[in-house]
Amino acid sequence: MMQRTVISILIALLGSFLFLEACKKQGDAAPGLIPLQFIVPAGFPEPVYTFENNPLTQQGFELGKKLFFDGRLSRDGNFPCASCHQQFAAFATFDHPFSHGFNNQFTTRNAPGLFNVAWMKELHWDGGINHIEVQPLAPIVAENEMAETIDNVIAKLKEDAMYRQMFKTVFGDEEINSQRMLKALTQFVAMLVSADSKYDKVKSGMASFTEAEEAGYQVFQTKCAACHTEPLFTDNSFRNTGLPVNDILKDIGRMHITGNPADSLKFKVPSLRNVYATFPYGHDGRFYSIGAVIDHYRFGVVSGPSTDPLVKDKIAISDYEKLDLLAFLRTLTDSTFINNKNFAAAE
Amino acid sequence: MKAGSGYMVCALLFLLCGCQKELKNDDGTGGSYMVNIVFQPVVQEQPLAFGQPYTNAFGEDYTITAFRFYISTLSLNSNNGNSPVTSEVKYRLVDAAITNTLSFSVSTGQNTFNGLSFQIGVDSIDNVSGAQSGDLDPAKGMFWTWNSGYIMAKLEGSSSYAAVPDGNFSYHIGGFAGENKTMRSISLFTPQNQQVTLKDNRIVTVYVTADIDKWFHGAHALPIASNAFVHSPGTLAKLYADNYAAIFSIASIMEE
Repeated sequence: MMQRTVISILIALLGSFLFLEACKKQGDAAPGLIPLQFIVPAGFPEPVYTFENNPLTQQGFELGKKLFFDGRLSRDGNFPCASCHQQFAAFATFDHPFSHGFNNQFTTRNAPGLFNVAWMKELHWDGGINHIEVQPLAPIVAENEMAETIDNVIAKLKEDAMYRQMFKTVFGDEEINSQRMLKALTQFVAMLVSADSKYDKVKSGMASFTEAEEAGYQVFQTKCAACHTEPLFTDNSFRNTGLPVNDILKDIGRMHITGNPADSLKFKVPSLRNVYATFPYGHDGRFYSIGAVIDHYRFGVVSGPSTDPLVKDKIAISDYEKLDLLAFLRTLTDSTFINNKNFAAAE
Repeated sequence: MKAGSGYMVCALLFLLCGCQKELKNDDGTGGSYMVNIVFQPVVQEQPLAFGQPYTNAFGEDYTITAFRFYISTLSLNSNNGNSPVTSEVKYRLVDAAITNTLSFSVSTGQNTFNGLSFQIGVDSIDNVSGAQSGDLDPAKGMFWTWNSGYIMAKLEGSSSYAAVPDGNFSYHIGGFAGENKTMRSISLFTPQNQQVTLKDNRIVTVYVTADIDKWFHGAHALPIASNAFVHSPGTLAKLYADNYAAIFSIASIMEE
């Protein structure tokens, strides 16, 4: 009897130790969950988002994917995240300057591609979102996008037995709240890593550039890379690139967030990865081809008080250099990413 | 069988102890006293009634439809210093429309106090830490989705002086970064600086009034006619934050 008591106390101590550990290390997945690794591609910096307090698991990722493709996150059921973020366009909206939203409305900015989001400190063209986890709230509640309330979304999810089961599997009980929904969505979106383009293969010695691509890479490095910095092909800064303001939208960009006149007309530098898949271009999608964007820097820059010094005197790019540049930019298309079945809606 | 169930109980106890937040006294006496805190939204000393017409210091008519604010870091203060109270949550969203958000209990290790301090708002780290739950759940309507950050305090209503098409004024005051900070520290004394002594068998309730009328003139003169719509961080939001820092006072202490 004495012995059994001692053993049971030992077991209890061990058990409590494990429980305590569980309390402390929130980053670890609960038992039964299949942990997923977030792999930082060779040459990439450490990501901003590290899944701290959001242990990455197969089940969490699958739940996030289901939510991403679920129209119930919008008021009328027609506008899931995926309606504006289409995989074949590297999760931008294909062939649309603006995306369609609730009640025949349009968004007011061009939907960015979703990839390598885990490396972004701020999200949106104006950087208004300070954390990847809270980003989905913006399109969900925007009247011209998904036009839904957070409470309604949660209520709809709670009605669905499959969701209750999936939330229970991922989070330990059936409770569904905005925090859990957002963490699951983040597991999916943060996993959208694109780093397998021809450019990446060249960098790792598995392929080589053609003559034109190589020449274009040289042009890129001298004339574009200061803002579109490798390996992410953006420095994630905000800059006024001399686009004349659209008189109807009157979009002041970053200043909308900071209130600082010095930030007027500044927008986030977009990544050039997958640039061939994400047309049209610019924060308002005004450029229908990459050539038109390059021509803007050659001939079109309108200089104002906040125009970036790097572009305010325009960029000298010859016709030959432009062609080479176009060849190089084509090597940034990541077909593996765009065709990855893991990121497609479940069958 | 018996050992098994004993193990379960032990494990459960350890689990509870392990995950519970620290509950300890700072003065080392081992005593712990409960204090009830009750917030009372008022307008010019009368309890707030939604929809009732009031007139502010500028002669402007107004009615109130919503009044909410976050509080955190409560501490009961005495001449010996400030003693942070123990509370089960870091933030509380006090909502004039939801009675059970207006009162709550805290515990303290210090057996005397003559003041109460707390903060209005959500600190910067909790504005940049991603998805939150509880009173910080963005579904509570106190989070800006387009410009990440919490609304520290919110006042909505209507006035014939509100220069907006529908006559509804709406003050969503927030901003956590640098100069735009709208979190405010409030430090209140008991009426006549009364020393309140806590004992095990005594329930003490602190009634804190929040006079909404001072929202318009607590520190700065901010007539409704000048601004009916404030929905972003910045200079104006800071002025309103100075005003809401001035709306609170301890009306009375009840000892039973």
